[in-house]
Amino acid sequence: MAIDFTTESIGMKQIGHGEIVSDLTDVVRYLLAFVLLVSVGCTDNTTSTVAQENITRVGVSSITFNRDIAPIIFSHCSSCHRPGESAPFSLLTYDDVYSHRKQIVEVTQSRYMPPWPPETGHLPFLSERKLSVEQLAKIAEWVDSGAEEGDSANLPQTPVFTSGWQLGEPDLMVEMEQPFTMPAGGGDVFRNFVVRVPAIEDHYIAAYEFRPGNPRVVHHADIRTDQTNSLRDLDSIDDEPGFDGLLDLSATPPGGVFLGWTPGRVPAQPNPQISWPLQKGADMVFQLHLQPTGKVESVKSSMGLYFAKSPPQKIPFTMSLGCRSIDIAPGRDDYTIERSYILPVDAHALSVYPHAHYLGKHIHAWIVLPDGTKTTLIEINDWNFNWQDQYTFREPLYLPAGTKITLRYTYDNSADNPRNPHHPPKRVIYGQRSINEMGELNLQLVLNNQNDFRKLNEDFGSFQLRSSLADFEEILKSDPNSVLALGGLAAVYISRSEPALAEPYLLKEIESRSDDIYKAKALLQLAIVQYQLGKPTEAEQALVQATRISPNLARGWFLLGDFLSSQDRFTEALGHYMRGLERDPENIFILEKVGDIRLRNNELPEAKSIFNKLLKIDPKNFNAFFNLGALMLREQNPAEAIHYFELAAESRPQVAQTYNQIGIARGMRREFEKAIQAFEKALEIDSELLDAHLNLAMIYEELGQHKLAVRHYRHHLRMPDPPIAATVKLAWILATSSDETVRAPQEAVRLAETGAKVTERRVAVILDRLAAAYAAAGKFEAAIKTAEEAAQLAEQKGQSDLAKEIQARLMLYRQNVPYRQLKAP
Amino acid sequence: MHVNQIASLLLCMTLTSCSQQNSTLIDSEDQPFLLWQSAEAPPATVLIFTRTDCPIANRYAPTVRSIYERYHEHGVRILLVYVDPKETLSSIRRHLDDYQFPCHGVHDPLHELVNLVQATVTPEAVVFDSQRRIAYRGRIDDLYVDFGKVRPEPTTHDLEDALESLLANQPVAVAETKAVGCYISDLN
Repeated sequence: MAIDFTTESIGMKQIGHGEIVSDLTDVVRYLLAFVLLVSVGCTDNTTSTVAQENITRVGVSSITFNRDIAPIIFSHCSSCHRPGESAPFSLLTYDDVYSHRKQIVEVTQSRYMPPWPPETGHLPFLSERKLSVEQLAKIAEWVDSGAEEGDSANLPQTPVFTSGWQLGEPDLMVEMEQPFTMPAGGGDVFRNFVVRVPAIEDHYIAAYEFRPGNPRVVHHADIRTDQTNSLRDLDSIDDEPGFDGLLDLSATPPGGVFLGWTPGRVPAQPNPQISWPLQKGADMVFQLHLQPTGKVESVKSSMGLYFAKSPPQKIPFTMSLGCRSIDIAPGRDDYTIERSYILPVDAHALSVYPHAHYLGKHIHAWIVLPDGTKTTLIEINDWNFNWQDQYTFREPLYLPAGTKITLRYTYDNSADNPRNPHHPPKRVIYGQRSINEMGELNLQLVLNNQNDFRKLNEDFGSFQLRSSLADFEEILKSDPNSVLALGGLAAVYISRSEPALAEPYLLKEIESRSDDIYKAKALLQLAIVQYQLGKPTEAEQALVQATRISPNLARGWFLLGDFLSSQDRFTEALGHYMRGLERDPENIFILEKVGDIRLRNNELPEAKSIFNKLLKIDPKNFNAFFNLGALMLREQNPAEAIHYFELAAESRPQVAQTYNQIGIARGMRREFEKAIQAFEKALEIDSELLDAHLNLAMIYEELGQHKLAVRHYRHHLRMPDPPIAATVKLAWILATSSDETVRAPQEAVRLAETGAKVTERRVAVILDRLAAAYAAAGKFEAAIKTAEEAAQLAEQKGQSDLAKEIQARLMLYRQNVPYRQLKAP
Repeated sequence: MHVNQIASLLLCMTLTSCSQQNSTLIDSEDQPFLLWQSAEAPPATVLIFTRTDCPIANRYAPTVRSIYERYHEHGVRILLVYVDPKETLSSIRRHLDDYQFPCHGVHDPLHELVNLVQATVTPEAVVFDSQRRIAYRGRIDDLYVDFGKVRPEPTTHDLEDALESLLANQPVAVAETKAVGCYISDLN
């Protein structure tokens, strides 16, 4: 082996004195090598491997990039280390890897890369990115031995990655309306972005792909839905899109499924077990963790959604077990929390997602089966907040009823923790901001059936309320003005339907809140509670105050409108809805309410324009179709009414009232067969829709089918306080039907007497029906007397036709003959 | 280490006598680069070794900018030294532009400057005093503890402290710190 001493190899360059000196180290190194080689050569003539190991290996190694290292890099690194992905440089070629080789050794040895914090040796996860001990050694040896490229024949094919959407064109794509500008410097940013979903039907989502837009900046994303649309209002807190801070309870994992993204996450293939519902009108919320890169960056994230053909096969449930009374003193390096819950039903766990902030150190969660077997769900020895992730089990984990789930986390709030955000360390309490701390274990469960879901939901729900109560009360001991605890306790009592207990906490929370938007939200909550407590004046005051301090809170106007509507103060309600619309002109919920009121006020042109506006925003809006149908009925246009009601039925097939209205419209057109069909359809959906019974009864009566008429009248009259008209109509049939199997004189008398009593014997036709009932029952004296009364009344009221009819019947009664209707043709 | 000591000793000797070099270093203005532009050196000369694709170095851009803005008018000379041989004049200029660096850069493909001061990682700061002696070397601040271990905020500001001391004619309290970043030797 010859050592080349030419000027190039020892780096002597024709530049100047300084440069020669700089290569002294190289010269020495080569001299040493030469000396060693010579000395070895002198003592041993064989080129044994032992001898070779005594020499610094130059150019001799069995490990090459092409054969041994490339496969590792391609399978464990390249998916992120390639253009357009999260990593700052590519690792796709020999040159790439060579120019980072020492760094690669170091970051793999320290287990910083590839990022996979969980300890192995427990339950296996999907897509585990850990390198084995052998792989680590290989990489190190390769670098040590000169990092040879090797034979190109051995190089495996560079992995090919799908560009664009990984699962193909999505059925629906949603994205942030405006890009967010991430500053060049400063610390990490945690920001929430409300993303509107174009109004569509409800859908189940089988798969999704989140695209950060700027994968070098977006470090992590949590995705939720907000069905209340209330988080939209927070978007206007400052000029930049989105808002910082707490994601309140309005934003939830949709349908009990966790959605998220981390660098390198491959979108999951459609899983029929856990498709999740995207409800029409709900907003999506992207909670993003952003890291500065040193230059100003733009972030516009999007999400592709793939529809499922049917609801999930199993019932998903997100279980979030955690502690909110975290309170870590400065300097404490072993603060520990522990929480447990026992499952009341069978379940399968699909994934686990531990969560803590900067001070988290040791994460451990495990289960104990009813037979005593203990299994670790996840363990992380050096928690890194920047690399939190959701870990999916390779096989769904069966958890029989009675399984105890426990989390035990330890925190380090000492100065020795380099990730401590406070310098010197400060007291750290629970909170969602990154300077606060959290301790949570999120489990994605699936349940076998609705019963189990209900049971778990109830049981875990009460458990959460109990834990929350305990946690918040604990917090109040040291922090009596903690808005988190005050608001939290109010929320607990509200969900337990104990508004009286919630009220004092809300009042105190409002007092303690300095932030207008959150104060306004608390005031809204207070208004609802006070209304429930029968304090309408206070409730209204709270609402007015809320909308005054935060006029942008469209929801405030909406609630104020609702409140006034419930008091039948429709004009005032309308005024408040309109102000809400000023802030949020396309708010479907408010538009629907305004349309309702316009219709109620018979302001038909205004109502029409509202409904047409709704249909522009939401082309299948049920409310708009239904109300337009009602409007057409009012305009005596049953053909158009039917058209709209049919559209309404298409939009929401399971609303009985729609078919009832169709029936009414058909009835107006005397299309009795079709009317009957419609009413029957309504009753199929809701057998207790009493209006439909009444309508059917009246049609059957018209058609002379008294048996059916009576049946439906009787059904209709089951309601408490039935309308008199129906009572009396039934009485009439029961008294005078030509069909003797239908006649029931006693019942007729009873019904007609009720009718007469309720109307204080001041309605002639009712007295007439009563008389007929008496006659049918053989009580002719009473019949005559009542008929005479009726006739007199009719004359007085100028109802001459009715008076004539009554007189005719009177003559029969005087003959002791009851009145009978003619048989229907 | 013995070898390095010899090297630096010789280095100091040669630097003082080496005012006119035949350098092939070109700066980002496409001008020949000279480490020492005149017989009298500025109060401090700062070389910050960097790469365009090093995320740690890039994250320091705002900090470097603010240091430049603060000390430039006191005569401190600050330069970014690009150590990746594969860089070009346009890629360096684009990088300076993207990250809004107010200072100049210089491409060091043959690692002349790297070897001159024995820089090992990017970003690494090396500060010469007015006597052309190395007064400080190491990290810019302690934001990075290690790969993957980043503080929410730096707790020391080593480069700035060194510059303050030099401008006040005080000895630099901490002359050497360990810098965390991408290895320059990987580019050999």
